Amino acid sequence: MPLESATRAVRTGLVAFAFLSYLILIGIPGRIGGPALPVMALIAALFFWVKLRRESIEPSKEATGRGQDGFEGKPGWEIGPQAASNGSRVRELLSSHTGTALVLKGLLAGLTTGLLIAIVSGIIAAAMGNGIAIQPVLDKIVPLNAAALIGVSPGQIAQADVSFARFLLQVLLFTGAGILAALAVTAGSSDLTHAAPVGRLTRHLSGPTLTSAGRYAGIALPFVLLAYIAWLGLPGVTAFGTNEGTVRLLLTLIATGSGLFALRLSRPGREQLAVAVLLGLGVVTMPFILDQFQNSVMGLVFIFVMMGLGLNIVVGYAGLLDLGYVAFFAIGAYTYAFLSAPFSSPYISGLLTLLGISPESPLLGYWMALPVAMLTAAVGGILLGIPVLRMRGDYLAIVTLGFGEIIRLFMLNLGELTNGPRGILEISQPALFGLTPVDVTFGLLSSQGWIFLLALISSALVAFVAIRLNESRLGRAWFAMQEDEDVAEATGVHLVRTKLLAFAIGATFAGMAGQLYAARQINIFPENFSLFVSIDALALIIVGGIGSPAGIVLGALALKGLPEVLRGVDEYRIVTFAALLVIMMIVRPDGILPSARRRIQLADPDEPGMDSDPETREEEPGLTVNGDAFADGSGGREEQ
Amino acid sequence: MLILESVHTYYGHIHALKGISLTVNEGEIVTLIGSNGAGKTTTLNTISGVLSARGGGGIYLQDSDRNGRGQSTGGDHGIRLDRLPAHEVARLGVSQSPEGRKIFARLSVQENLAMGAFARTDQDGISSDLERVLELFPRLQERLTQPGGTLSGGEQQMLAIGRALMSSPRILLLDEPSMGLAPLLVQQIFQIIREINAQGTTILLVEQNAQAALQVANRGYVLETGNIVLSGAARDLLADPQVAEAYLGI
Repeated sequence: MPLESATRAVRTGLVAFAFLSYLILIGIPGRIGGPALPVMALIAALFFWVKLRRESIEPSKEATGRGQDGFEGKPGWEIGPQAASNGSRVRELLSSHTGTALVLKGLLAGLTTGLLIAIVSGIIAAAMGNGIAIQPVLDKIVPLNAAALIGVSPGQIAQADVSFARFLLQVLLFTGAGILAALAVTAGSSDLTHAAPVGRLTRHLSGPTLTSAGRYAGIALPFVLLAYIAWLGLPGVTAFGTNEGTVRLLLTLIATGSGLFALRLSRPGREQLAVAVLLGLGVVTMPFILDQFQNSVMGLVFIFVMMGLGLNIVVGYAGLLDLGYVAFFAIGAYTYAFLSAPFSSPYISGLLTLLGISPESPLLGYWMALPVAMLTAAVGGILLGIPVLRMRGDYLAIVTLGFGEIIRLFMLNLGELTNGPRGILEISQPALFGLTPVDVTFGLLSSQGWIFLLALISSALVAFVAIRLNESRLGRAWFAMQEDEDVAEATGVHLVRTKLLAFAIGATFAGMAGQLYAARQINIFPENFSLFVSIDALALIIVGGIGSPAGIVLGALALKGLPEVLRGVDEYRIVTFAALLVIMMIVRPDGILPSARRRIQLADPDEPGMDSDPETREEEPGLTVNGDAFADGSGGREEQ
Repeated sequence: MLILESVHTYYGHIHALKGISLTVNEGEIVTLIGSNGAGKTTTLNTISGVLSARGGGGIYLQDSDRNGRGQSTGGDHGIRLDRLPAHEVARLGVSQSPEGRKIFARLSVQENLAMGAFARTDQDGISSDLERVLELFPRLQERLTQPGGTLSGGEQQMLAIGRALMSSPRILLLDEPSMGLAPLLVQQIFQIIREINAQGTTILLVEQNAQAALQVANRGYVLETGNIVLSGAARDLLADPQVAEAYLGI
């Protein structure tokens, strides 16, 4: 039996190695960038965590099967202490169900992976060191990834050689990943027999009763550790002493310190707060950690989160299908462009001269322009809203679709006002008191990182407003209107005002997103605002789950982030992406994280709790008959 | 309290109401009966403003006891309803429990009831009305947090009536409250209608179940293809051989 668990651990290591090799072959590490080796270790650690966690919860089927074959007489992990009593100490330990056993298994799995990676990369490095022209071949199969595999940066690949230190480092790194994964499992377990050092630590941190916040923190802690090691660049711990290194160290300390503080604060009943603080911290440090490319992708993702949240108000809350949402995005972007780029149209300067303002460019900074962009977009929303007040469903979709195209064509063809297809160039960047944070943080926060940070903060604000709206009187009026316009009106909902408010608020959010997008792009052109932006925004709220803000974040990550990550599979990326979307819609038709209301609507009518309880059946037979007929959520909505 | 003077309503070119005139007095239960397509629901929808009347006279709500709700525009007649949008009519205290219940399936029972009080701002009045509704329908109390769509048909009907009551109406328009309910439950619903009326709410009741409706009503009107063909005290209509033959199935 102990031999069995050992081989299972080794097999986990082998699978991890195969998985990592696959990732290298399709080019993921090269695309992720940064210090590739620790990132790979992080991925391996996550993999180990999943595997070990499963082992710690239930005995594997294989073990049970062999046990029944008479190998040990009793099946799998369930037997625990009794079976161990007749073995040696090591055997006892390995087959027991304790944290130490898990750590041992993690170590074995990590060691296997580390050894294999070290050996393979050693062979490659040796071949290159001996002048065997392996690099062209490697570059052909795995562009950029040979370097990642060997554990050097792409520039250094030519100088790669076989060194014992690197060999050791690779083995240690992956073994460490295995151990950390095991520790994460023990920390996350509520079962006290699992208590390993990390488990005890988090238990101590989270107070006498183990809160779930403490558990999550315990799970996260090892990974955060590894992530920071990855970030600091373990292979060449070069950054210390420099300005950048100091800032990184400070950020790490601040993040860890406040994370621990949040944990200490958490009591049963306040776990959500602690988790939110931890999550927030983790997310806010992201713009500092990621490189320029990753930041630009994440910036785009969160710009689309804002779009999704705004569109969700129109589609998810008020039930008005808007396919021309890009129009407000474009209005926001162009408003900011007019106000902040050197380009000046005769119309606008004429208007300004009329108002007595000297037409100098740029007129307004980012923050001054923000309310203007939001207001302009809101006015656009109302202008679209008025003619479509009486339309529902498909007709509304067609008209809004047309509106989106009109705005784009307007930007394209009104050359004197919008510079036509040549676009508006050199849009100024958001600054704080005249300083860009890029200066303040010694370049650690890249320009795209700054945009990402702004997008994060803005989407947090927008999400807050959206969530509050959902629970407000207005939110209820929107839902009532979506369910049945006539009845809503008959209960006193002012349909015109309610609809226009939905359009205006949705458009405002899109205007904010558009402005940030213009700042991110620096130069904007009419073709940035094609129909596909609307489709993307709509698709992401459907994928994420209509009506749920958390789902929208996931949807945006999946829809705008995934295609970028999949760049590794190059020409197949759109196909892969499409396949993933199809699979997702089959597996989770109501989105990744549907809102509570949607779940109600789509739930199986036969589910318990969706029907009258047995008492009702006894009291009033007639009631239940009707109950079954109407329990499909659209109950009582037959048309006249 | 509510007066209809020769009201005409059209669906496109279809002339659905051909000059309906009727009166509902304060504190009464008045019932509109008639076969399918006679125009009963159309009449209610025209009163509540969901459909708009075209030509003919008007619909008036008389300010009898309460004042200060809306401005009077119709001289002696009171407030003219047929020129107001539906949400304003609702704010004047005309509340409809629509045919086929039409509760908000995805909102919880509590939220449905809150939607009923949407036009009101008096928090105390709303909470005392909520208590009153939950007293009338104890079943709703048990299901407060459940989404409306998961209720049984009877419970949904109770919720629809409760929602209409939450607006603290001066006149309650009930459209086929017995539709699709078991006989036992129909009795219960009519019992509740009587109770609501006894508490001081005027009721205009539209029913297919003429027998039951005429038993609770003070007066009744019989509709046939957009015209009122018969009216009178409910007791007399019950006894009328014409009504009995056509609507009571005797």
